[in-house]
Amino acid sequence: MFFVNANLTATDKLDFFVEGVIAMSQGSFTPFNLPEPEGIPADVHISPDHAGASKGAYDFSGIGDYSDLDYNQLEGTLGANYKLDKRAKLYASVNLLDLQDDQPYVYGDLTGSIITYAAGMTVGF
Amino acid sequence: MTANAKEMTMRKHTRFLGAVVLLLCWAATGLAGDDESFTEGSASVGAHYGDFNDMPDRVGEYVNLDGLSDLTADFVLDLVGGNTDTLYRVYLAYTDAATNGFEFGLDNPGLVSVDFGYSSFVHNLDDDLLTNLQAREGVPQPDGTFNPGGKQIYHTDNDPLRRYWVEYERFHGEVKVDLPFLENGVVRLGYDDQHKQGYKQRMTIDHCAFCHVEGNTVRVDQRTKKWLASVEGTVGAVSANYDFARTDFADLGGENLHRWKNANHPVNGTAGAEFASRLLFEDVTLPYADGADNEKLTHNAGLKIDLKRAGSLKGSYTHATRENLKTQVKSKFDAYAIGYAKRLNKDMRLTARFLAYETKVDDYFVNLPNFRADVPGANNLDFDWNRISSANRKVYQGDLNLGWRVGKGRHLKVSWRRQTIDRDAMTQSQTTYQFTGLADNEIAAYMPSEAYANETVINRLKLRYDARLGLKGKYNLAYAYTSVDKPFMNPTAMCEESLAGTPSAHVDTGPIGRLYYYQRARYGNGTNQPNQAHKVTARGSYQLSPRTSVSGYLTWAKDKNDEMNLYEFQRDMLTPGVNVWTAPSDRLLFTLGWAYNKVESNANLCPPFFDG
Repeated sequence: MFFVNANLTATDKLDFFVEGVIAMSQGSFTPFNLPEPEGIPADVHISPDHAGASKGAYDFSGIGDYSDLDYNQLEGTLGANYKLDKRAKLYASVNLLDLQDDQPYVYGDLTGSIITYAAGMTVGF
Repeated sequence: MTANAKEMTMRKHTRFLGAVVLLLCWAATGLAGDDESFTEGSASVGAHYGDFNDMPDRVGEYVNLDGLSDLTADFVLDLVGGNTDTLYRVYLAYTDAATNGFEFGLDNPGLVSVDFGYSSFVHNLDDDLLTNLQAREGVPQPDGTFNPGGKQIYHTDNDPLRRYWVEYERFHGEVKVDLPFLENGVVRLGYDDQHKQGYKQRMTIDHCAFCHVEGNTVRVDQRTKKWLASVEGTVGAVSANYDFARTDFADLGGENLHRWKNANHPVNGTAGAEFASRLLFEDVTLPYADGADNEKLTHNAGLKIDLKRAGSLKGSYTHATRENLKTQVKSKFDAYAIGYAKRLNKDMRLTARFLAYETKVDDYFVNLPNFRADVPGANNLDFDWNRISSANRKVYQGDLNLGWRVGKGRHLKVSWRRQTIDRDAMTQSQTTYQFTGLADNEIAAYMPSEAYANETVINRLKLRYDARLGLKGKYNLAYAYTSVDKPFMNPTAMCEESLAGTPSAHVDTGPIGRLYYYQRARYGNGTNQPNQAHKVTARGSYQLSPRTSVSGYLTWAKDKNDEMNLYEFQRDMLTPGVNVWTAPSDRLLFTLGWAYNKVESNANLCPPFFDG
């Protein structure tokens, strides 16, 4: 995760600020497969039916891929303040929230973004 | 008036109110009171507008998405004021109809102080699509291909387009009155009210186990109210306090109902009698996800004696009772604590603490219909049992801490903790079902197995060294070693083995006839708790120049459990991070940071598959 916060006082009346957080998250299971129980002949698959006949085989080799998680998140704000006098200033900012889901699975593709614009006036007293 | 019209009207009122507050504040600038009073703060009034793409719920986990695309007024007022006798603070914040709050504080030292506050926000929740729960057995064919088999797992999301969210609201207030006739005498009265409303997803399972999982929508309406009262004071060398709290939790979400379907074989379809006899219920509508209504009473009394040069002695006793008003299940909690602190010399300080507590929940008799009572030869087994709560425990904990100033700006701290946890439910969790004989129909009796352990003993040693790097920096290093005898685990929790001369656990041609799941002997122990743990931490900060400083940290931990019978559990963690603050010029300021966290662990897996 990286984060940055910067303030630039461009003039006596105008200053800019930027804040940003980048978070990268990854997770996965190491690939595995189900070993045959001891004492079962090699040509008899696990879990025979009630008559003792082979009923099936299970393939877990895909779990390593299925379990992958890979999110990249960005949260950033860019804004400016303009002083009207010693106590009053106008402000404006843009805030971006962005998530990139590169391995969608249990909750579906969670990729999404939200952008918010804000403006107003602050008075100190 | 519709809900939308009400919201529009409220927004207009909010914008108007915000503008009025701002103009009043600007106009009042410079109109401070007399010499003894002051007012400081700021007021902001503005508006915001937003939009989203794709799925906003996870990226905007705490963003109120309703009305995000409308132009919405917002304001913040934060002011502090007072005079030589009284201080007050007012904080108001309004972002939107669901995200707002206020705080109000008034403090008149020696007389009374008051704090009130309210906050609300939205928490967006995920929708589990359940699509990972989709698997079916493949039956091998002579040509190497597979045909669909009978064992399978599938899912149904009954509300796939639903958005889930919960709105949190909290109000809290406290009044503190000083008692002028008693040294340090204070009486406090408090109230805390938390309310959660919304909708979330709950799962239900059909048939014998997890083979058909359904996602359902349930309404959330939970309220927690807490009342507090306390008194404290000092007489001579003795200080005492008493606290009382009552907490009520109510689930007001209403009854959730679910239809459990006919129990049919997933492939053969009609084997109902054979199938249903193994279930407690089928083809019926029943309530589920029913929350508790709890009432909790807590009493706490404390005493502190100042022994002057001999040190100081502290002790406390806590007694709490809780009752689930729906089930009448009660629990009680008793805790005793005593502590002693003494300065051994000008550089060394010793503290010793002992804590003992017990949690005891009523046993609960689980009354079940007999297993396959209507099936001839099934032995009509009675599985009624007395549940001993896994929350039950007796805990004894002792701590010794020695702080030593080893030099100017350098400190060493040595801490040792010993804790024992006695859980009486552990014996029950190891109950297994064993055969009493080998003849057909001579079915198992269920017998408690030998207790693995009731008692966990934890010993932890910590060392910490703090030092300064001249006048510009400081750092600390710490190491902790924890040794656990019989850590909490689920013994004989997983993996089956063949039984009583049968070639496998799944055939009915052996001498004991058909096997049921409850008869299969599990043997694998499972836990994610270590019996040995090492943890190293390092932190430091340094001022490189008047305009630049840097700080960093590193945590490394290695846990393992090598006392299980199936596998050795390991967990490794590494967490480094760096922060830099720099101001290249008077007009430019940067704060930069990097953090990294890696956790790697293992577990043993014995997947159950439904054998229809």
